[in-house]
Amino acid sequence: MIIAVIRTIILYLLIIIGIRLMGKRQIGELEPSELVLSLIIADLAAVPMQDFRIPLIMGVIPILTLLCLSAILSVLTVKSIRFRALLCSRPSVVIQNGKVLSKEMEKNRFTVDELMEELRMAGITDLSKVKYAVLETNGRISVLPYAEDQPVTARDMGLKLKESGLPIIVVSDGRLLAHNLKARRLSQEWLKEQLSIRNIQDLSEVFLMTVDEAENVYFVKKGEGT
Amino acid sequence: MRQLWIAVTILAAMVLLLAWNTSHVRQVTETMIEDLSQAAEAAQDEDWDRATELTKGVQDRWQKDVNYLRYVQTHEDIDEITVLLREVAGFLTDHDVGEYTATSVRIIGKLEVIRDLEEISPGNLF
Repeated sequence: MIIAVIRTIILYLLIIIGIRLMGKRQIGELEPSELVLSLIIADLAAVPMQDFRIPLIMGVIPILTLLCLSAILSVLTVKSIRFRALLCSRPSVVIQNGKVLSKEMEKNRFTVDELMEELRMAGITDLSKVKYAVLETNGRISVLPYAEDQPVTARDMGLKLKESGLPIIVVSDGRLLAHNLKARRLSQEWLKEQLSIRNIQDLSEVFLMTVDEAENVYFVKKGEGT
Repeated sequence: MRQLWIAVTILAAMVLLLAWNTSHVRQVTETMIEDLSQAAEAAQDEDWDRATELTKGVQDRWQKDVNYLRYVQTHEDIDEITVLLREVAGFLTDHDVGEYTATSVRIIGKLEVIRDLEEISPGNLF
C-alpha cells in the first residue's frame, strides 16, 4: 500500500505543476478548453492512483501531453486574435442601451432566468438600470449600469483624495519578507521603530504586517481576536 | 514564447521516446515470438535439446527486459507471461509436447497483443 502513497504523491505534484502552469485564474473563470483540461487531468491521475496494475507512465504521459498542448494553445491565443476567437469565442453583448438582445441570448443559449440570476449576483435587480450587459467567454456577465445609476465616486464629487497605493506584506507569520521591505524602500530601522511603537519585541509576535506606498501600516499581532 | 518552446520540446521528446519504445517492444516481442514458434516446432519434432535451447533464450531475453516492460505495459500482462514462461520450462523438462505447445501458443498470443497495442493503427486509435 506504500505504492499507493508514492504514486499519489507523484501524480499530485504533477497536477500541481500543471495547475501552476495554467496561470492564476480561479476555477470559475476558466476558459472552456482549460476547464476540459482540468477535468481530464483529474480523471487521468485517478486511474493509476487506484489501479496498481497500470504503470504510472500511462497516467503521466497523457497528463504531460495535455499540459504541453494547453501551454501551446495558450501561447497561440495570446499571439493570434483569430485563434483566440476560435478557441474561446468572443464576448457577447446581451443588453445594449437598456434593451435585451434576444437574438444574442438565443445564439449563446443563454436564458432569461440565467441573465436575471447573473444580474442579481452583480447587485442589479432592475433591468431598466442596465445600459450594457456582456456575456463573457467564461460564462460570467459584466454589467455597466447607466451613469445615473452608478455609485458616486470621489472624482464625481470633485474631491481630491490621497492615493494610498498597493499594500504589500512585509511580515508574514513572524517571517520578514526582506525583498518586499526593500521594494517599499524601507529599512530595518524603520521596521524596528514600527514594532517598538506597537510594543513588539520580536518579529515572531507579528502575524501580519503590510505597508503601502504612503507608508500606511496594517498590523496584526499573533493571538489577536482569539 | 519560452513557454511555447518548452512545451514543444517536451512533446517532441516524448514522441521520440515513445517511438523508440514502440520499436523496442516490437523487437523484443517479435524475437520472442519467433524463437517460441521455432521451439514449439522443435518440441513437436521431439528435438528437445533445440526446444530447450530456444526456450531458455526466450526466458533469458524476457528476464533482461521484464523490468523495463513493467514500466510501459500493464503489470498483469507482464506477470502472466512471466508465470507462463516458468510453466513452459516445466513442460519442457517433462517432455510434454501437448502442454508445452498449448502454453507456448498462449505466450505467443500475449506477446502479439503487447506488440500490437503499441502500433499506430486505426484499430488502436479508434
